[in-house]
Amino acid sequence: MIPETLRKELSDHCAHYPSRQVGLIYVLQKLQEHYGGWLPDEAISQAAEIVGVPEVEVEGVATFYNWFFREPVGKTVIVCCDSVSCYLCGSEKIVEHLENRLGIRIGETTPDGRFTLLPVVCLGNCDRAPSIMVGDRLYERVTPAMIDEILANAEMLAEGKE
Amino acid sequence: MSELVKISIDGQEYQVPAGANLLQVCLDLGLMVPHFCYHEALGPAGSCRLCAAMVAPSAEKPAQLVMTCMTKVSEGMVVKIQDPYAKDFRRGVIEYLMLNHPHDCPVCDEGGECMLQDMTVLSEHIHRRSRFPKRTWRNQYLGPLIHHEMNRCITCYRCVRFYREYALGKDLGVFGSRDRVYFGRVKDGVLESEFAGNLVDVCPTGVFTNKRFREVYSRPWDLHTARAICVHCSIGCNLLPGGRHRTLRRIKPHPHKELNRFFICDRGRYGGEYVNLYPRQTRPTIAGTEVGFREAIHHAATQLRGIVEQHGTKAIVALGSSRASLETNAALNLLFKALGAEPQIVYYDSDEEYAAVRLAASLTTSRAITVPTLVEMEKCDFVLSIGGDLTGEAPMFDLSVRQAIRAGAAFFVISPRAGKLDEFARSVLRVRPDALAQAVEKILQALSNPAETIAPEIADIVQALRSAKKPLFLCSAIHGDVALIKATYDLAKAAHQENRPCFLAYYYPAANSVGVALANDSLEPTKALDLLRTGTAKAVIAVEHDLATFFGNLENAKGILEKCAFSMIVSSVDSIPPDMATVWLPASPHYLTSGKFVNYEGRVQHSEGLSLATPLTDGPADLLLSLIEDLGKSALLEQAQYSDIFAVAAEQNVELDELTAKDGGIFIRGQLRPTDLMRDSSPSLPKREMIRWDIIQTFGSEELSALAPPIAELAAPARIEMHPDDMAQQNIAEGDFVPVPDTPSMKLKVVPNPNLARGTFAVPRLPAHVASQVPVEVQA
Amino acid sequence: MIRDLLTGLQITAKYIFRRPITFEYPEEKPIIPPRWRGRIVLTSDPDGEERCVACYLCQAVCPVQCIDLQATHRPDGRRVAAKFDINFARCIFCGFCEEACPTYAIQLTPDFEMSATERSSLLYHKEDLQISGTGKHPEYSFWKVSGVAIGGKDKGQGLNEEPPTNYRSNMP
Repeated sequence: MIPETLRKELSDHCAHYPSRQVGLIYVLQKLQEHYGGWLPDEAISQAAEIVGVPEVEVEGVATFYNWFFREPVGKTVIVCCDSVSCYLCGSEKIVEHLENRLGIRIGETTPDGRFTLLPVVCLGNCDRAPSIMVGDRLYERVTPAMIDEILANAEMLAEGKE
Repeated sequence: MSELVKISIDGQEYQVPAGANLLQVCLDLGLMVPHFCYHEALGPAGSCRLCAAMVAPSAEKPAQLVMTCMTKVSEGMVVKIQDPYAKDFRRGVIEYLMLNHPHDCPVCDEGGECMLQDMTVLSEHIHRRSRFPKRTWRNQYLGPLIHHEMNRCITCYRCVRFYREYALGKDLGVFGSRDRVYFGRVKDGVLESEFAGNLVDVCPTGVFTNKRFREVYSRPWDLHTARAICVHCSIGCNLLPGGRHRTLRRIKPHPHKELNRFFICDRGRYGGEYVNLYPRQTRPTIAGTEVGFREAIHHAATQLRGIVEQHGTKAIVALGSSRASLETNAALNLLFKALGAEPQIVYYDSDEEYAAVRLAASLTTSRAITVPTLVEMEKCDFVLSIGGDLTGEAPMFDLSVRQAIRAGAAFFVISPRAGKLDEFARSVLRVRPDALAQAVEKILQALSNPAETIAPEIADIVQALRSAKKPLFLCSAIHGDVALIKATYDLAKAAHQENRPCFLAYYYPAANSVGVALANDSLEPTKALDLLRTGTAKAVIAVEHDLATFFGNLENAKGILEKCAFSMIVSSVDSIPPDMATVWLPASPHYLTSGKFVNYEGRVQHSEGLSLATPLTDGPADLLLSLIEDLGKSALLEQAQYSDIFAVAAEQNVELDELTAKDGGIFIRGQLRPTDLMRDSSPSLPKREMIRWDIIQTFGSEELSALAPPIAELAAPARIEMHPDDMAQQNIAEGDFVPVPDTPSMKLKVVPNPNLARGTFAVPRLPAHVASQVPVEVQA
Repeated sequence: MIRDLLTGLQITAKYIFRRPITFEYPEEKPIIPPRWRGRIVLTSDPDGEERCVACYLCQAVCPVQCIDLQATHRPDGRRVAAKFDINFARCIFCGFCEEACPTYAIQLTPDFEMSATERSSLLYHKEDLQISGTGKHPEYSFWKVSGVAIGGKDKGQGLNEEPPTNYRSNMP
């Protein structure tokens, strides 16, 4: 369940648009934030109710976009670009190093629920490859040596949020 | 008519309408261009990339590869479908589409009518070169009608385009992206739309297949087909039933250019299955003992002749049937003539139905109103649905109205109970069943007196009606409200102006309601009941008419039949015990017999019967004709004319005789005068504090389809709906059992329904054989 | 004329000393090549389950319409023939059915000894046609290559198949 204030805020937001369904992306973003970074089934029906569109529409949008997660994720999501530029500049080594540091394979979440490691097709940062994104922070020209610092930083940030 | 332009396709010159869709033009010309996502009803999507051809705007200009479905024809266009480059492109596209297609054809239910098979062969893709593993999917449970096999999907989007955009359904969607696209529901469950069955036809491959056909699967090339008319409502959709090994296997729509062009409702598609189960007693009986047909018919003839001799010409009462063909009802009438008796035939179950249906039918067949075809309905810009629930009472009206709504029509509803279409309505007028006519009269008054201030609840309707270019009124003749029929007629007449056509369509309880309404010898139900109760009538004949429904319930029917000296049932469904009657003649059901039906427009259509091996029995008309022959009155049959039996123009006799299923139907010219019927229309319903309203459900309320297992499975449970305020007022809690008004022997669970007019009990209309199975709960 | 007679006798005499090419059938059986088109059988999968999936192709291709079948489902999801009749009084042993069969279920065998004294005994039902072996193509199993899930083979467990896709996956 979501707090009444959030529901009202989201509903009011949708009312700004000529057609309520325009607000769907925003509602899903806010709900993803509320549900700890991902969208459980409950969030889908909540969004459908708030926006006033059928559930299939919401599910369609939520599964279409990369940044809506329909499966549980850790507190911090690390995405590593594996597209051409980053690949040429050594993204494989970055991923490998991350996997070793976190003790998980790409696509998995650490058992303590702190990190989720995901590949991504492009971060639009090809000129400063390889790049990764940790939470909402973008890191450029990443080297395996930088990883430890980045992770420590991320943990600090995550704790700070709490 | 749009102007014609000259284009060249593969070196041939053609004259085609300017601006037409190039792909449709090619298909109409019989030139096969491979395609998937394009569907005549759904239009182009340009997503499958298969219909590519080389097109040049003129002979001088260079040709480009374009998608023909996204191209409009223009003067001088040069099209090359068979260009090697285009062919190669198409072969490449189909190869991609086939990358993940499973090796299912031998066990796939689409095989033999699979568009993917056809297009693959047409595009000359022969060999799968890819060695990569195939993508797989999990299937969903989508209810008793449709089987889901997602592996076979080629993502043409036809299903969602039909389901969501065309039929305005809500629970089938497309999820994911890229090569991970899934078509289905959010969770497993029964598809909600009443038109979901069309997914079977819309899907070009075997993702959505007919679950019932699958059970007793046959390849389509093995099916015997006939052009039949749907018997489950008054619209008269054209169907193509397919049968094999003595059973009906499946029903598909047969396109009719004015009625069902592409789609049908699930009641029509799946309701015909009753044919395989009934009649269960396939041999005739005399007082419960099985005998041969000849013997039973001879016995009946002797008995009936004896009764007429002994008790006079008024001793026999017959029940005709509004769901049987004109031929069957005519044969019944001729039987009376052969016996030398006065035809006393009753076709309806109540006096209200008698009056309402006859008035509506007379208005329709005398052309006092302009009745739209289904296609014309889709083009109206104002739709007012009065006094009924379109989805349940005339499902294909619902689909046509949805098309009008999609095109921007103003839609309004006046009804006692919420229907599925209400969510699209600009405004809904919720009125008691006995106040419907008044509500319509109020609109009429407001329309004809522009000076007066309009009541706020009807202001929208009046305003939209005034500005509409093509108004449409849809009015139910199922609930027996004569005043409403008349009021709607008056409103449509007032709204009719010279420069704008005004459409009005009534919809009826059964497939041939309009046909039997024209019968010359039609007795009012109460008069027939009196004749039987008082013992004036000594014999009763029921032809395709459920006696339990007519007499209220099985016990009453039994009592009356026992009183009669002779009773005969001719029926294709043995929903009441055959041994109740003196003579029971099982008849071949609809789809296996031929006959003519008059639909809501007054269009007579011929329904062909499937010829499946040796039929177990004859159709009801043939059985009655054998009876007449046994009476030695064969000469009567040769002289018989339609115009003697039905109030139709005499010059139509030959036309009607020669009508075949291919003709698409002819419009009947009825000789029943509406003014005569309006004069004796009494105030319809007596004033009462609480009034009963029959819910006509798409699944389960129609007599024949309710016998089909998949339809019975989908039927909503029997219940009494009440407005929550009424419940509070009368101290009734949810879940209490309350006696059904007019049928006090039955008690049903109360369900609150805020979308119900106050002062109304809403009860699903159930055929007597279904009602008898509803567990009767009596409070302690 | 006498010369002609002698020529004839000479040929006769020559054949007297040759071994006969006829043999004593039925005591002595002929050797029939394995590709002979004789009695039709319905073979089984390598795992012993019935191979026929009741696809109706043999019935469709049969030029004399001697095959009549009806499909049904087994509880485990396999499509099988509920009824599979071949009228051998009508069959012309053309072998089209074997060619049309997508699962190698229907095969013609070198057995030709099926004469009968009654026509009705030439109507073979499914149980008369089924054999427990695979016949030709001993390796092939249709259900392993099809995408349909059956008991013991879930989605994605067929040959050359990915595990079922999850459209909700967080992986791009």
